[in-house]
Amino acid sequence: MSIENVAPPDLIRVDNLSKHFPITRGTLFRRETGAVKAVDRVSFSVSPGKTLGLVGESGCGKSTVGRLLVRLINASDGTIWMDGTDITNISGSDLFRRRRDLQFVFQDPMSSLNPRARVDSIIAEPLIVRGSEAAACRHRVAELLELVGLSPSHARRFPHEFSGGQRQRVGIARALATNPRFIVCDEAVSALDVSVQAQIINLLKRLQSEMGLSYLFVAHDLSVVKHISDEVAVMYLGRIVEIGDKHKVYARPAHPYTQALLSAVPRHGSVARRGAGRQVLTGELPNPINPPGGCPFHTRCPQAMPRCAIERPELVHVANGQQAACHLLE
Amino acid sequence: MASPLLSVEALRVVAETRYRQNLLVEDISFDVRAGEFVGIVGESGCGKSLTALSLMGLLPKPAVRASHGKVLFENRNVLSMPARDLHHLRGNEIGMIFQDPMSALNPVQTVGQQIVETILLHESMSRDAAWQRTIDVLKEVNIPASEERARAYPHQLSGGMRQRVMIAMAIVCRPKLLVADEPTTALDVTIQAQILELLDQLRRERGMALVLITHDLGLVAEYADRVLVMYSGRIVEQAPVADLFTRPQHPYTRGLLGSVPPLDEDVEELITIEGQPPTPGAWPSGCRFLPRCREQQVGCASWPVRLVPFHEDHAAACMLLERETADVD
Repeated sequence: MSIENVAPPDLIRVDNLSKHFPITRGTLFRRETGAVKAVDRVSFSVSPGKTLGLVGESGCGKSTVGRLLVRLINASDGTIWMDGTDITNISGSDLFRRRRDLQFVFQDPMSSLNPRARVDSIIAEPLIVRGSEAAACRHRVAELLELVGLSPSHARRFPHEFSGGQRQRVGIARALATNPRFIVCDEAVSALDVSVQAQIINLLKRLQSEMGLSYLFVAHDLSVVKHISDEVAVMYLGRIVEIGDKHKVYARPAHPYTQALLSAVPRHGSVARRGAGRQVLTGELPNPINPPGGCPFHTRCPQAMPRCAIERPELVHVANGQQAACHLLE
Repeated sequence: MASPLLSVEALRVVAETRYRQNLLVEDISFDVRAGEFVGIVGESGCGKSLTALSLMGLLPKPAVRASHGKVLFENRNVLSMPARDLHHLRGNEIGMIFQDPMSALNPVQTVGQQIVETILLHESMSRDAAWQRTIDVLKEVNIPASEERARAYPHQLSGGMRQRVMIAMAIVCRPKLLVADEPTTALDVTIQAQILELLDQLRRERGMALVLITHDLGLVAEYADRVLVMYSGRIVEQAPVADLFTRPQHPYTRGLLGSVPPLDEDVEELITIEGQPPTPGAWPSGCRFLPRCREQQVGCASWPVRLVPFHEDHAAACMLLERETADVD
């Protein structure tokens, strides 16, 4: 079920992780009437110093996976391993210690930075709650600002005094404050203009190679994900439909959904290939409250067979280091 | 050649307060021929949306207005048109769709009612006939079960369906030009592909011209005939689409192209443009890209900015290009 790993041991490993959000009715006599399976039996692993890209359309559960890993929300089922330790249900001081290694960069830095706090206290907060001295904090803040390409003289400014790209740098500096090993970047560059987006991507890559960070890079932009990731997982309605080495997934996508997704991305090189061989999916994402049975993609799949509506396909090996969940591949 | 459908000449848009005047868009000139697909590309704050709004006389006057230049639609100046003519122009001759269909649609009316209202405003026909036409146009934009959907409220439709309703509303009176301002930015890639295929199909079938405003160079590469690249309120480069991507002339265009990770090949590091775009209104004088330009030379700061023709329809506002072409002559 999970991916086979050769040498380096996994930093993060996830087995059959699920998150179900209950749907309730009534206020006084509140009762559950169903559940949205936002994440449905997802397994993957991230090695030290590597990046796993998680792509999919809105509502596919990719952000929920990120939140689960950092334990912002609790899993309904499955296990999250970090360094071989089960962290799925840890709490209190155990979780507090783990959080030093697990950090998060949010999509919108304007709403994830306190507008009334100065940049130095935003960045120093994770250090202060861990008992650092004021002088040490000041020193560390200056160091972090420089690391993310800002000037230490920016420390006394408020978030609104920065541009979008600079604000995202502050968000990254805050995430780096505790010297984490694993960072979840949830659509960290989506809100930025193209030219600024490229700067932040380069920054994230540089920090990774300098500090040996691992990323879970959650994004909907396939070209950005390809650029930054080592491995890519494609999600559809809460499930991973394809996962593997980025070169393999992008060059020879095995799942029909991955194929359609890649073909839908407009690209520069396409002036020449215009009109030819473009595969446009019909229909829209089904309602996640009532997902189709069998393979979740069968309602939009150009190659669907009767079997697809009944039986849920499991991930199968397509090539070395590439797996996809499709009956056509069996 | 026949005169173009739309011709913008030296358009300038300013924002005025009691104390000062801020220049937002300056010296914009371009043509759109009948049935042509023109893309306008730029980052936020570059004036692309204001340019789009000026095409229909929709600038939020009096705070923001066109202070100079002309927007000629079939040789009539939109900027000096009386309100009654503008009313006829919008919808009948130029249609427009916006980025966020949820805020452009009325939440307390069914989408069918809203389209009927549009038709009745522009044409005299019975309510029943207008309703029939609404169903037909919803079918034309590929909305399944269109009779049912016409009775739905906007919140009952998905984002992609809402954008289809917007398109239906914009084309129901058969405009000759459709202006689409970031129509797919809020949508997922697979839905984005559907909407653009639809727009392109409508353009071909109806011979309607299309102006697509976007920040996504890839979209433009895929569909447009001609591209304008805007930076800080000015056009920095304009070219037929194949030319722009194979031999970009302006350093900003080259930087933009380098900033997008390519899907088909691997690059180690993205070529970036340092710094960030200047805030609207606080443009540097002379070449506005100068503070971020990697290729700047002595003389750039004092060069009077203008579009330098490079090759047929291709022009860029860069001093280096002018020097190069002068050398060749």
